[in-house]
Amino acid sequence: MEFRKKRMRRRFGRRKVCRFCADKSLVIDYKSPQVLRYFITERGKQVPRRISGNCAKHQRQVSLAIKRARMLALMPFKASGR
Amino acid sequence: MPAVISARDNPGTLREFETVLILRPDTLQEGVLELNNKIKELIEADEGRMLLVENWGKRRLAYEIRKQLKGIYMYYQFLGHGPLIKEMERNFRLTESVIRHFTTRIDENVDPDARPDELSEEDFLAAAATRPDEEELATGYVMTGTGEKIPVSRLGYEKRGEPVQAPGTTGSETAPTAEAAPTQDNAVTEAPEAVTEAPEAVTEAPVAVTEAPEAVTEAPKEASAPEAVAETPDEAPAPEAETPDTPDEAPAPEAVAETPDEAPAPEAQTSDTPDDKEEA
Repeated sequence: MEFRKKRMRRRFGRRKVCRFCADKSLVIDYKSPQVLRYFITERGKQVPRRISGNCAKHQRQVSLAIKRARMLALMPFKASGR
Repeated sequence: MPAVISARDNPGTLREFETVLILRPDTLQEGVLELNNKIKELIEADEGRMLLVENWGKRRLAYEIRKQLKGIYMYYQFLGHGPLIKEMERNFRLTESVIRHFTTRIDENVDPDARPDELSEEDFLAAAATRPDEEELATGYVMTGTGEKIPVSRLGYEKRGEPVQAPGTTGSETAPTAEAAPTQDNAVTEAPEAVTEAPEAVTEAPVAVTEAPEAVTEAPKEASAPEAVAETPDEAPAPEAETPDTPDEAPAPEAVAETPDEAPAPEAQTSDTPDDKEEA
């Protein structure tokens, strides 16, 4: 009973498609924080793959780009306030 | 000839690098030019070549660096051998005005002859001029770390052919109506372009500036709007006024009155466009 319930729940929701695979013109670049902003939370933490729907390859690239953008103060390490 | 060249490189080839520097916000044109010359000198001493210099203007930093909340972003692309970077970074650390430096390799085993020399002397000199930010346009001077006030003209930006607007001419009440009337047709056709450009415009601000006369004022300032919105609640009416499918809300004069110091002209123009479409 428990097992079946879990399986049912997992099927809910549509599998997200990696937006960088879908749109090849979208480049992951640490110099364009506008693109990367979608992949951090309000507090400045990186959004996990299960939420963002990125494929592994592009999640790695996003991760690197975010870290670089942080070094250049284009993105926050942590959100200010609170 | 540099002392050590990596065995990984094919003989006769160079590596392509890009560097981003953040300079102190009170760095003037002379200071930027001096730094650019130094970098160029180092690259050429290493048998490399400068490909591109860009000045991204003054931007707000996401966090404080050396007590500074803003910085001038400089972007360079160049060819050189690996050991060049070590020498360059040593120089960046010695230079007071550089508060952050970051270099990455974008390509290796590049045949130097295969790359056209993109950088003209003119572009090189122009990159020393920093676009003043809105605060400096409003006040007309640059604050230095010691509290000195230096006129905006020392940033050298108006020498690039685009005059820096004097604080008087950016008047909040008169400008939008006067501008909107004669350029109505233009505003209608230009506005959608400017809006779609906005997300890109942050990185491409210098490029967008050279486009249409309308875009000159619209693109860069609108690009800064989304950021400002999150911080200041009184900015809220502006983005709503931008959306073309809600023509009945946010008439132009009101939006202007609420945001007098934050780029009144462009927002008023875009908010005009839905009305114009309705009438036409």
